[in-house]
Amino acid sequence: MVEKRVSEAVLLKAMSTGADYAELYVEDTTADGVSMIADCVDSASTSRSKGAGVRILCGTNSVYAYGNGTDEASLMALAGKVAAAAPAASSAGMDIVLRDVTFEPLCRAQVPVFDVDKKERVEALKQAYFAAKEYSDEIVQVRGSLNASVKRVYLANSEGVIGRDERPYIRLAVSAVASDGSENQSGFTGPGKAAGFEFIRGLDLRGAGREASRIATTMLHAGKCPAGRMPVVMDNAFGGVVFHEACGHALEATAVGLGNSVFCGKLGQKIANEKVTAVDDGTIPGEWGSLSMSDEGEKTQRITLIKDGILTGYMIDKLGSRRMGMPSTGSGRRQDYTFAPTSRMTNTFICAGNDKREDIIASTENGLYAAKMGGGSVNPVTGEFNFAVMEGYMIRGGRICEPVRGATLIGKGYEVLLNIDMVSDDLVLGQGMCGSVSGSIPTNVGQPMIRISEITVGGEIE
Amino acid sequence: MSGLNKFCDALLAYAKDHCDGEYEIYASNGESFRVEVLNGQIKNYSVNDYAGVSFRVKKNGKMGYASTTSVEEDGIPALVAAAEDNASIIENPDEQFIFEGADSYPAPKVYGEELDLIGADEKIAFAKLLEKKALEADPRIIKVEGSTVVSAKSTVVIKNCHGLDLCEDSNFIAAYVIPIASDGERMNDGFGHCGGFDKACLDADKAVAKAVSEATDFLGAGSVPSAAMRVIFRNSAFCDMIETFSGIFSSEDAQRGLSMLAGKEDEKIAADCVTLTDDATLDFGFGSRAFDSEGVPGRRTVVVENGVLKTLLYNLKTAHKAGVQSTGNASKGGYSAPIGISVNNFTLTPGEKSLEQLCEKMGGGIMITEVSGLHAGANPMTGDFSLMAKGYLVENGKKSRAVSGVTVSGNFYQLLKDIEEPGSDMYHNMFGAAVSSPSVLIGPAMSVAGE
Repeated sequence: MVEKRVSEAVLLKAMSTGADYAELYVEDTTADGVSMIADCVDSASTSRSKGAGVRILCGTNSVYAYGNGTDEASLMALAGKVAAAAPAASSAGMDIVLRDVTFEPLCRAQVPVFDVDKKERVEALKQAYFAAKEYSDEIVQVRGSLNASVKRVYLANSEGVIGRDERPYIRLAVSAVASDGSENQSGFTGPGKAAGFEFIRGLDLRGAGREASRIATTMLHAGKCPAGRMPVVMDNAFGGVVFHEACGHALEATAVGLGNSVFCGKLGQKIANEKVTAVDDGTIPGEWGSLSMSDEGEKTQRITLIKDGILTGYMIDKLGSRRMGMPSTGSGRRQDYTFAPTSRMTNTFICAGNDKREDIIASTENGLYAAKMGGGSVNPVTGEFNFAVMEGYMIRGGRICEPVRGATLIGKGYEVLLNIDMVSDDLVLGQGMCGSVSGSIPTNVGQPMIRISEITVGGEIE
Repeated sequence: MSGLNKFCDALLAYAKDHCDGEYEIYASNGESFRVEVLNGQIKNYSVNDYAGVSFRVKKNGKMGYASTTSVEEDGIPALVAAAEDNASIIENPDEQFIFEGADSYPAPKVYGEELDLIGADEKIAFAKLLEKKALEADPRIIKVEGSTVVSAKSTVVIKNCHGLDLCEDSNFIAAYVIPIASDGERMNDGFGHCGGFDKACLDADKAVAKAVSEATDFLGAGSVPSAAMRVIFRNSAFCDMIETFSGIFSSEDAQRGLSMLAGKEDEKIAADCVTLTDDATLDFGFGSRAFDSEGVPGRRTVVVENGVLKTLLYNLKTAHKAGVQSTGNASKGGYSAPIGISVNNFTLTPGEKSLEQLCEKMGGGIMITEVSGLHAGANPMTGDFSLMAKGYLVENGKKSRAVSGVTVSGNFYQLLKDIEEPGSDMYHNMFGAAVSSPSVLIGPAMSVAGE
């Protein structure tokens, strides 16, 4: 996307006032979305997002500038802007020799989505949509969308690296509303991959649609969840949002590097029940959160965050590496060129354990079974998190009983990790979009079924 | 703007020759600035330019969209072809509109000339000042996680095949500070901000006072036993609630069966003391604008009056479907997004009592100062919410100890009916939708879950 000569000139100019690191990021993304509501195709849009960002680091200070232009003059202007804002004002004479680095592509589109006729894409969406709509008479509205994009990334930095990456993404989303005339309840499914249209061709489209409606109708007939402290059995896949929120964010260098995490200085210490082993793995081919190359031109890794309850690693970007005095783990990510990169998660999950699902339920006398989780958020400083239960059931006498709605789980990450007392053997990943300082990015959460011995459940007071 | 203007003109000329339907360009561009200070030094600094063009075409009655950030003219044919291709797969039978224009437009003040005079050095100095003041405010403040000044100016342009040619410039400045307090064992953070359209709005003391009290007050905050309790939502927390559920007033959601307010015009949907207005024409409102995203003039709309729903909020498509006029609430979530509906300046009319007087009236209960996890724990479609909350216990009519780690749950449709009295203390939301609200006292007890 950019000539080597131009990249070298941009980096040199960016560093001309004393910076000790410079990076040029250029992106050209084409995205295409089709959505349905009220049984018809309602909107269709195509967008092209092209632009560049230049960042310099001076010790642990960061300066960033971005713009739409990717021609030589625009890029040099960006370099001039960051150089002018560098806090150190000395000129360091230096050379930059860039070399092409090849990153093994982990996420390839076998069937590039933009080679597929738009009618076929619409047809796939309709299958999922109408399966949801026809699930029950109680389903009064369905929204469906099929979004695909191809992001081409070029990166050059003063460490001499030129890296390129092409990232295909595709995701189906169906949300269904069930109503009895006076109340509404909703359900959602959103399977996605870092892949091409082959993912949609291989997907059980009707099953995905029906699942959204099954949740909505189940919840329509659910009573309100009782509030209080109780054991919670959390199912696999998107249940991993617990770990993502309660622990993942607090293990990012963004929090740890500034001393703002409850997990600072805890490497080698027990922070979780010994049944808990957790990783951030950006190297799984084709997964929603995987990357061949980080947004800082590094190879992504499988980082063991927690091993048998002991804290063993953090997710670290280049700036975090400087702050923490630890090597980068290739965790620098950003939404697009309008954000400077920072440490972020990729595919982050609790690994499979040895317990059996049926044993976890059977050994829980009374509690809440969170079959499907909604989203949540966390404050890394205090460790306080909250998240919503999309589909929940009461457990009584070791059996799953009636559905309940309106449950929210709140607690502190470091307490919950210690309270995970059973981990089953059925790891599944679930797709989400994670928002943080460097924007919204695709990440996988995941876990096997786990049990938390006690946690505060928000709901109705009798 | 010149590069973008030239591109838009070339795009219009190309569309005139090549499109057999109606078409429109929506373009925005601008500059943004951000500085974040740590330990008296610049931690992050960012200066940016952005531009984006969205092109839409109505062909055989169907609207297709395409957008780009690239103003290279050789991309124009592909942009137009993509929009036409998208129009060809639309099935929605609703009639679509490219606006022909209005006789007159309001001119709310949305550009603070004084902001152009504030240089980067002054912004950096203010960020440093915020940090310094926060550190000096209380011995328990051990550091400041972020002390940030952001400013932006932007231009929105709409040009279409009917000769509509609109342009509006706006700007703002904002600053915020996040101090962290510690008692040697636990840490807690607070958030304070200030901002607006002139220098005077940069009130460091006010921002620091709020942030520091939040950080220190909640340091030792505990939970409460789960109970049904009376509740006051402090103004900023109730702004967040209104913002989260503002979609229930969208005619589009109502027409799609996603809002329970469908068909409820002229019915009682809230307590007598509830009046909600939307007004795009306020000078220096964060949601003010001369025209909406379809080019319809901004206006003032009474949405709920003394508890009665007077109207929903409309754009051209939904208004036509309902047989009414657009209320000027067409919006775009970014230049590339399709037309939707959102509030402009949405305001809950204040009452007469101060927050302290509301506490006295309540006697015992909880004053909620912050709700979090709104994107997950609140469902705008059903009205249900179950949210993590912070606040203060109120005992014998007075604010007492700080409380955290609780959830408050209920249903927003019911909450509108259960408002006993709004206070007089207005808060204007600066980040997110432009919602203004006083504190409100809720009548019936609500479910507060804790220990």
